[in-house]
Amino acid sequence: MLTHAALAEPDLFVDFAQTAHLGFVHNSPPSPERHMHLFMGSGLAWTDFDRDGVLDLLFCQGSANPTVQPGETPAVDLWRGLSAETGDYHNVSAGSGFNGTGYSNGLSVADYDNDGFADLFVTGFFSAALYRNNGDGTFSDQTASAKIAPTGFGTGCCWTDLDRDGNLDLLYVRYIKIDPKQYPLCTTFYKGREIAMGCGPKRFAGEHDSVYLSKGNGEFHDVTVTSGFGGVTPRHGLGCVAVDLDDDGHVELYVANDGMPNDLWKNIGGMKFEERGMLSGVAVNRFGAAEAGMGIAVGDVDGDLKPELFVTNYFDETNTLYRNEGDLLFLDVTEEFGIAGPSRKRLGFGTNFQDFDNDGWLDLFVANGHVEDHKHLIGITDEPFAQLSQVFTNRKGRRFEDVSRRAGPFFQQPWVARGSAAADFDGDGKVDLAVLRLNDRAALLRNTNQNIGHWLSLELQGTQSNRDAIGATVVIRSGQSAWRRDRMSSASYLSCDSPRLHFGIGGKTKVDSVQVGWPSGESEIFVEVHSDRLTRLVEGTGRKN
Amino acid sequence: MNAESDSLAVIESTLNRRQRLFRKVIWFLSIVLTTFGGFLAGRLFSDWQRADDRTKARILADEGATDAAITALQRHLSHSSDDFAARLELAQLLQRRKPLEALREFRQIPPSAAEFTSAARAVAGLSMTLERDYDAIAPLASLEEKFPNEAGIQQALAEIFFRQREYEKSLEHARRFRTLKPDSVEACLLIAESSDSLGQMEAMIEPLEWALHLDPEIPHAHLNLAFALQSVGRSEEAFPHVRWFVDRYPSSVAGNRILALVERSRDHDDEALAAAQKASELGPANLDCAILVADMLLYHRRYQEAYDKLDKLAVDWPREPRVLTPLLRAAVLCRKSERVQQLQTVLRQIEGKE
Repeated sequence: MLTHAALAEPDLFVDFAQTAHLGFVHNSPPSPERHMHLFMGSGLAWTDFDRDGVLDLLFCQGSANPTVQPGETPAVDLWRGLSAETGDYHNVSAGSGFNGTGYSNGLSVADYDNDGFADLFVTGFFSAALYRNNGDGTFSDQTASAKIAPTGFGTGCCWTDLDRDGNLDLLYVRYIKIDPKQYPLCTTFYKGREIAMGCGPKRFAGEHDSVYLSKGNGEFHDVTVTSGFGGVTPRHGLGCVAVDLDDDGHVELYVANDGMPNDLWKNIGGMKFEERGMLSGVAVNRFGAAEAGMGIAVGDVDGDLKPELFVTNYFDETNTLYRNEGDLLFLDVTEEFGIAGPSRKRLGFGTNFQDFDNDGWLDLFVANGHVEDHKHLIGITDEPFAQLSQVFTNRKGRRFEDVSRRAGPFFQQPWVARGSAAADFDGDGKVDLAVLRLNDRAALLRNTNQNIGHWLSLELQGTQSNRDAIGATVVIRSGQSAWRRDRMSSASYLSCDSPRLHFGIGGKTKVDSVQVGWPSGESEIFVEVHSDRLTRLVEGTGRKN
Repeated sequence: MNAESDSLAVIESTLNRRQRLFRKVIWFLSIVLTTFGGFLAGRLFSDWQRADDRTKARILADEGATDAAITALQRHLSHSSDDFAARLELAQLLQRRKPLEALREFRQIPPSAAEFTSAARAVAGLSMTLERDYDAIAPLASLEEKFPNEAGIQQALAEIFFRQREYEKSLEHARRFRTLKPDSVEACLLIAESSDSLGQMEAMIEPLEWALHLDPEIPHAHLNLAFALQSVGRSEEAFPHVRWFVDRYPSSVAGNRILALVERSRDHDDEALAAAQKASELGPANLDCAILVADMLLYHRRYQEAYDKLDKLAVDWPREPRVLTPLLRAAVLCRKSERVQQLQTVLRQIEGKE
């Protein structure tokens, strides 16, 4: 929670992109016919691809061409961080092996081949690519050899170890069933004029998401049908996360669906999954209505060491907070946490739970922006295309307070924001944000809050588990206080947060213990972990719990 | 002698013929004059009678003999259907006694007639009185074209479209109404109500605040403003308005319900639950209040209490999604798996999907 003293600070965030020479500009100009995929936008990811200790940025790039070219691969921009202190970024895409020109949507970063270097999977509009990090600053497209089929309108994706064999598997989410050769275009008539409008998802059938199981040799096996994912009505998937929501040691998969109930895939073991969204209370809102799910934030908001789920939704809906009641049961507490009102007149995309002032409570960021730029032409003047992004403080796990007005210039100007990703890129112990704006320059929001608590940053390295320890659960304790974070490879809207887990610990200066539940199933306790610094924890070096 | 007599006879005969001819001419002329005179007299009589019906009607109407006046005007119009002034008078006389007949008469006055404006106003007003709003729209639209700056016309259109649930149109006219009459409380309330119906809570706030600035004692403006402010997350500002209302109307179900919502948003959980319970007690048949109480019980992790309350409601509302949805959540949280399955089946049937 941002303290009252903190609120007196003039700016909580400053857009540092220009100073940091971060010049990424997303390319997605609207077509005259308003092809709908051009409005869905893209995600971004923090990673340290060259292992120099400085976080780098990967961006999904769009495309001005609304049609799909044969054999296209998704376009990716790589910006290398040269110095944490100065936050100097350089575009190193050329020569990195990212030669795609197709429209990219989402990405998930993880070391899928356990060689110590971060790889990535990128989804796109009728394209997808698995890029293997060669360890020399270049990437190679392994999609074909990995036997991953780049089909359909790909959106979210996440790496996770579904069978706990130490190899990362892949969830590849699809949005809608669409034939790009017969691209449906929509128009509406207003005062005798025909106006092109992007088609809404309800016009389209959903499409099944795919699950790929790693064979451990660089190849993947499509287990969508055998694992149960093919047995439900296909939906309009966008954001996705993989996290152990019921603390049974197996990750669940949660997919935000646009205009349809969200999916919660319960891992029942033996590579079998059951869809339990409705039963768990996270498919629909408290009124039983399916909302237009876009992005997802995961985090223990109320301090009970169980992760909550937060989904951004459409204009005139609320963004929805599902409180984890245990045993994979959730309750919509949006109203009670004060998020309903501030989110009703926004269309949310990217979202992140992070402790921006290190007081021990997760705060909330939401990137907003509409998918229709033409609403005013049909007489609707209160649904602007560009919208204000929001930052909320967590008031001791009971409710959120919108403090956007005091958060700096970025929050005072409307943008068409899409993906967002959090990281302490400058290593000052304060979590920053990168935001992808549709067809616009990316923002790098440096956390300039001066009045903050102590912190702890952890980098996990699996040995029996996958090397990035994707799926690990970490609980740190200090006196009576305890905090939980989950290592995930996908967050927000089609994006990926820093690989480092950041904990705000308020006034505490000492951590009693760090308990890591590794994806392998092992649990270890680390004791010599200091505050206000980044620490690497390696599986097998802690005390068995 | 004979010749003279013959010639006399011829002269006599000629004279006789002339006389006969003259008599014939006279006879013919008299016939023509009589006919023309009769015609003229008839015409004059007819004109006199006609003028007499209108005059008579006016006199009768002044004397309060409305029925007789109506008859006189109807008689008059049977001969002069294009006397629109008389038709307007007739329609006005019929207005109270036989409003539907009055509407028929008003409608027969065409836009080209000088009396059309009065007729259109009358049709609009009468249609609205008769709750035949759909009949009022066309004359009001004609009047709007002629008098674009007349606030009353915009107000009438806004009210009609609101009643017809065409909220966007209603809002459009209510906004024009307010532009023409900025200090009209009615205009502000109309904008707020239309915005509310369109789910545009934020748009309700400014007009309601202005309405209360103009007249601080409008109870429902306080309540609606509290609801709107709460909906957009401004619950601290909402509180004084709902408090104002509940202090004056402590038995109001809606007042206590909105107080509960505001208190919940202010993080005053106990006060919120108390207000919701009071609203539910005051309005035992009010489903929203009962659901709100159950919802709050769920939030407080009082799952079983919430379940019991909702399960009881479901007896009377077995296919109401607003009841079944929170009941499903309560059943899930109470781990009543059979009930969960049953509720899911019912909800899916209701949804008609999947």
